[in-house]
Amino acid sequence: MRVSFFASLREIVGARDFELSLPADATVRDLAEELVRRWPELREQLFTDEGALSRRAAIYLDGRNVRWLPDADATRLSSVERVAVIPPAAGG
Amino acid sequence: MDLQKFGQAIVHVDLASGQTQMRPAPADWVKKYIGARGLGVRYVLEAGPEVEALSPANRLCFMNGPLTGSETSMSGRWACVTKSPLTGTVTDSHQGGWTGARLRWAGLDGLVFEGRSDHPVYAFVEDGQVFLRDASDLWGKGIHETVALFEERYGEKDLSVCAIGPAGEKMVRFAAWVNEDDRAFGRGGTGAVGGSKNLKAIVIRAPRAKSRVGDDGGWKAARRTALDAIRDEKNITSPRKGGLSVYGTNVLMNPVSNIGALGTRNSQVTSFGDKAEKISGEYVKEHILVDDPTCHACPVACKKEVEIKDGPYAGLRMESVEYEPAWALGANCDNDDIGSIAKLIDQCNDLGMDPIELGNALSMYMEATERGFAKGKGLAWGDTAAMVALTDAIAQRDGDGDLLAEGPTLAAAQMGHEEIAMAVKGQALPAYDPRGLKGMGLGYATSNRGACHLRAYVAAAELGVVPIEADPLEWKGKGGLVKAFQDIHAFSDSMDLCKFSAFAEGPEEYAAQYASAMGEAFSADDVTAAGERIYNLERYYNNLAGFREGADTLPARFIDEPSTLAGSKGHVSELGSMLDEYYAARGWEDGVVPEAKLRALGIL
Ligand code: SF4
Repeated sequence: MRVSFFASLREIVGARDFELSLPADATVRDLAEELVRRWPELREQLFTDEGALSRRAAIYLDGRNVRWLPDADATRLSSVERVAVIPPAAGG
Repeated sequence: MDLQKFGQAIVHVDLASGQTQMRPAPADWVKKYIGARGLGVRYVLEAGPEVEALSPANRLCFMNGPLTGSETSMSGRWACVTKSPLTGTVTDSHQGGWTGARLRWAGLDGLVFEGRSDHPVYAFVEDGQVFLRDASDLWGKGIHETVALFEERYGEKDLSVCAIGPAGEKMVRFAAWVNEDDRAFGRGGTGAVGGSKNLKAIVIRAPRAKSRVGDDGGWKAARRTALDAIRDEKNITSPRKGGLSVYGTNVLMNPVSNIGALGTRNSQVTSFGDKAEKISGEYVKEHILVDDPTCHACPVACKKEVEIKDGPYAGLRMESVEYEPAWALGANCDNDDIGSIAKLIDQCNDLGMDPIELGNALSMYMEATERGFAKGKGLAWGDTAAMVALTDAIAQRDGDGDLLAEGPTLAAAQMGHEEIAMAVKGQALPAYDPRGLKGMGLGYATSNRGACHLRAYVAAAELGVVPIEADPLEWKGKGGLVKAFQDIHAFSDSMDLCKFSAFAEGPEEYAAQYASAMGEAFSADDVTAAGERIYNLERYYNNLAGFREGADTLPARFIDEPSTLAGSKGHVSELGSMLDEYYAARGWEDGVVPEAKLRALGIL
């Protein structure tokens, strides 16, 4: 699974993207925790103080924000090819 | 220096006789329609919705808002309002920079041009007066040279120039006015209206003033609250931290491609894949960014000045590589060469053309070529040298350029294939595919100036950057959402604050700033009420101009051809269902405002 980062998150991670292997039954939450384990600075982007997934940076599975998926952060990653982690972005 | 209360100093210029007259705007117009966009539409309506856009009878209004030129954050904006030669609707377009502010510092709130001069002229504005002067020696010149010549003539200090280029003179239907060399009244063909009137430029000389408006205590507090919101690190406007400030609007290229909402190859597909990276804000920052210019009173500095280091355009230094033109001339034309994109945007700034419309004209012509029915020489996908050459030809109406100078809708119709023009009411689509961001599609269909991302900009909700969030692939609920966003932006465009203020501010902040500037009570509810009135005024104009039942639509491609790529795969725009919701929220009958509604809003 390829994990890509955009905008300011690249500066934290120091790369555009990387390949990640997680156990077959891993969920979005497992992924977020793995990312924070590797780059602790991502915690405030990915999690709220209460430990829920934050709205600051969004995780997209094959182009879909997990926020809009029925199982949200419990969604399993087994069939996902592409993950994107994106901070808030808008403009004209 | 205290600025005069807004609305007292509108100068009417009769270009046929050369006479100018200062008149206050009618007080009830200012009350109902606020300024800039709203007030401009009211002046244009007075000339009659049936006028031909390129005839002397059309009005060309340059309007400030009540906050323009003050130290209110993001207030360096003004509006150009007229009947559009591209769409036949009323249109308004907005510029940043300093020119609007300078008009206010020169003692004026707006300029209303009518008639046609029998020779090229420019309007020179100083100390509250407007002088028409001969511009015969400037006719035919590009905007960069025109600006330089005026700076030579009048000195660079305290001077702003807003001009048309060859495209406006030749009445290219998507010609633009450009100020500060690179900030455009981009959309709707306002530059062609200038050309039709033989009006080459507006030149304003006035010293910059640290200006406040209205009652001191209230205004200072309101300004501070709004500024704190703009600076808040959780907002994308946050200076040097938020995505808009650091990467500019082009921070969107990768994310929108990722969700399958980036129209590519004339919207035949919905993502530019890995090629999006090469034209993205991240790529620009890493490789070619040299400066982050800003506008009057704006700490965000979202403009991105670049210098091209290699390839055929090496040495070009220009601003600004924005998301919309980078998409229109990039992904939309299957072009991933950032150097050529910078070159094409700079051509638009110099020739005076809307890069969104240009990109769509080129991509439509590329699809026509691919399908074998292009008139003329044709154009291959991503052929950057030919794109650059054809852009010059369009501005001069030479050869194949003359066809495309009509805009993608009329040009496609001339080739017998209107279905490949990605446009609404004659104006081309911006950079959000309606299959991947469904609210944006409804916003395009119901925009009063033809397809436009900025009338509603529900992408802010669909991309999750404002507290109201909405699933981009869900159509339900988009009717009310689009109406609410259209109304709030109609108000901010009339104040006239930068659109991006809405990423940090809301009706409360707008109301407080407006109330203190005008010295009158004004609530958040008044903000939305005024916005709704302005939106209905525009719709009333368009209804009278012949845009009635069935006019709010999208190209069939977005309704009939499902997206094939990740993020939006399998989706189309459910436009009919969204329109039902929208018209119910608006109280309109199939796009037409009932008379009772016009009366209830105080328009009749
Ligand atoms: S946010 Fe950008 S466009 Fe808006 S006023 Fe600031 S610099 Fe100008």
